[in-house]
Amino acid sequence: MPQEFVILVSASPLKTQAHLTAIRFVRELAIKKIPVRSVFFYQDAIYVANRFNSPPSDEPQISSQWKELSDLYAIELQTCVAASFRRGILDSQEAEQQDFNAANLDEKFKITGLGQLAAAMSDISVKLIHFK
Amino acid sequence: MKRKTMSIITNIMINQSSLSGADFKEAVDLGLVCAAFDQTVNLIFVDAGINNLINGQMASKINDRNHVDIIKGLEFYDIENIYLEKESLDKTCLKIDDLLPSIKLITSAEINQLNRKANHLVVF
Repeated sequence: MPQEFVILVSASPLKTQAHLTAIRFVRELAIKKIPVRSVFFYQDAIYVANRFNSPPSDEPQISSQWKELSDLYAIELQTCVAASFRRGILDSQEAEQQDFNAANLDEKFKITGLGQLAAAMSDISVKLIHFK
Repeated sequence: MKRKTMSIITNIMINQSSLSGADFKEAVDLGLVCAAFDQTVNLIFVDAGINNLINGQMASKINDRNHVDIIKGLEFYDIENIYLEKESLDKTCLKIDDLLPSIKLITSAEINQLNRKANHLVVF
């Protein structure tokens, strides 16, 4: 039996229900006190980490929902560095290095590498659930 | 199939065509990193994903990167199991000879078995 979940989200926040479903799933796990080690955003899912996302107030606030979940249950939100930079989601260090005048990665999301995900997947007690 | 001792098995299934965005590249990147962590990685091509395996693609003609070269190099990075779903191939005019060598042709039922044995399945 898995003792811990790792959540992989790879869909764009605007193109499928993946994020909304993943948020509900993670919330249920947290309520049932089933550990969630991390949520890893890959491919177009990393757009959710853009701090400039400003959806109309009557639409789902997907970035905010992830951040609330992370705060409430101490779940780390990780983004893949290569996938992020490829899509122009930069932390302050990278933005400075590339001479951009602003960074757009939301500070609640942490830039990590695929190695972080693969390391978690190498743990036999981890169950990976992929939302796409 | 080479099976590393006590290894975690990760199946990466690709159903998107070559040249359709970054799907192939990002799928392979995950596979390479998992293999670097000593996981047994099975790369499984299904549906339009089999287009990635067509030999003689000249992606450079449209200023893209050639996927075929990436696939040819995978065994040097410990990804030795590259599978192609027979049913997907049968739906096309392609023959196995049109595809890269050393690709293993397996049925959909066999893929289901592979997936049941795997610890993780990620679909691109």
